Amino acid sequence: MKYMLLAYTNREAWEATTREWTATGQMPAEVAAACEFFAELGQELVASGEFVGAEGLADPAHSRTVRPSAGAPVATDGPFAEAKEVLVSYSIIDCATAERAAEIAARVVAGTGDTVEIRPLMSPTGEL
Amino acid sequence: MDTALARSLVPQVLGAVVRRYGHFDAAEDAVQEALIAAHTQWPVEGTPTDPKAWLIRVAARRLVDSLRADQARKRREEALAASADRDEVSVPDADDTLTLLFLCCHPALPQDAQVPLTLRAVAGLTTAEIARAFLVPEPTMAKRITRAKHRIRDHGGGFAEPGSLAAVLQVLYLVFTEGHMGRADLAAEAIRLTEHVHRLRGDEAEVTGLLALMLLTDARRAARATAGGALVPLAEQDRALWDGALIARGTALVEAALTRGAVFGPYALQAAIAAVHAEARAAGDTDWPQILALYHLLEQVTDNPVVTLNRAVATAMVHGPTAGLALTERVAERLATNHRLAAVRAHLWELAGEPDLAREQYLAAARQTTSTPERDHLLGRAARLR
Repeated sequence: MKYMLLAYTNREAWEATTREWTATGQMPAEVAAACEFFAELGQELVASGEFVGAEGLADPAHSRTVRPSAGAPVATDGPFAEAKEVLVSYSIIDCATAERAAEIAARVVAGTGDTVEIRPLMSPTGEL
Repeated sequence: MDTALARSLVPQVLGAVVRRYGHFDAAEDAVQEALIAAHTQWPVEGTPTDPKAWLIRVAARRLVDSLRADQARKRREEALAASADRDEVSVPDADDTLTLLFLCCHPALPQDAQVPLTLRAVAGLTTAEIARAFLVPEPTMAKRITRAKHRIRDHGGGFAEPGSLAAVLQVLYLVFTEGHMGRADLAAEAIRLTEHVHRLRGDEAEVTGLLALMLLTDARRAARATAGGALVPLAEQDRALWDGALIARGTALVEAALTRGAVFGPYALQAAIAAVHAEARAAGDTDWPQILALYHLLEQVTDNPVVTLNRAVATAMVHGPTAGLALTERVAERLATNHRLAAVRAHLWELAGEPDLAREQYLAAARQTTSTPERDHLLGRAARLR
């Protein structure tokens, strides 16, 4: 069964980290730690045969939103985050049980401090 | 070169090499190299008179070469190399496919490793093909297969203990249901492998039963979904689309399995149920009392609550929907998060003339399933009752 893990992070903390990075010119320790954590977890999931895909997202400042509208869909910049928590990364895993998916999600939470939502993927197959 | 011939020989070649030398993981690589050698040499030099013996001989030499490269195993290699030069590996009479199946379905392996390993080592599919079938990246599937091979190696080759035929049948059925649920080529592979096991172990009633179940299920393939991919329930399938030849063969096998088995096994019983459905020319002609009796027997040999749920449907068809609904209570707790419970209840409320209750259950089932075609079907049923 495949699951998508959606990690949400505190927007203000993300912005504070970016400010620190800009001010010092050094990658902040927590960013380095998160990078190292994801590299390790990725290797581990490839080795366990559970990895399907994972990506980190760019700053929400780059967001554009396309909305339905009369005539053609309309694209606008933003949203310029008003939400406290914003999507920061996603991964897709293929694992044996829902418990195992929760276990991997708990690792992400412990490794990054992010909040992780677990969503099973719809399967294209089925029978009655 | 006849690639189909070479591929069909892979399990026997691999089985023979592993039986003789062990080292499953290295042997598997060696057999792949032997296939490549065949691919380049046979068109030039001609197909050997005994292609299987040729492949075994070349694979054995490759295996020895690869082991020679491993300094840590130097002494053992020398003994192996000496024996390979002395007595070329004999082609055993016994079919090594079965030995290989026992190994790939070894209880020391987790189930999610048994299926891909069987597809790779026994069915001869490439890692890329298996990855596509399971919709995962190829490196991920390669790792699953490698891990499975390492486990066999760590377990000491696995040949010391006899394998379990029940485990083999379960893996073959898992491959079949993967295919049955949309990947036709896997269903065909499962039938091909089960046919093979049946030729070797047709004396086992459950082997016959499993083959019958697969053929009878596969017979309905063309009727199971519309051209657009929408699922069609059994009662509404166009029975003219059912494959009569497969049904005839499956039914004959069911009879053989039920005559032979001292105790009816779960595969033979499920096949018997499929055979009763198959013999009805129209859904209304279905012999539900007989199906109900078979579900009673099936319930006694398995602890699967879905069997009880199916018996509830058969009960409803014989004794009325209220009796069926009452029976669903018995598994309500165990199947609380399984969409099948709500789907069956929806169907039975519909039969009972309670469209509102039926609709509510169809919607609940649609929310619970993670299968897109099932969700679409359940929402369609709910919409019809509006």
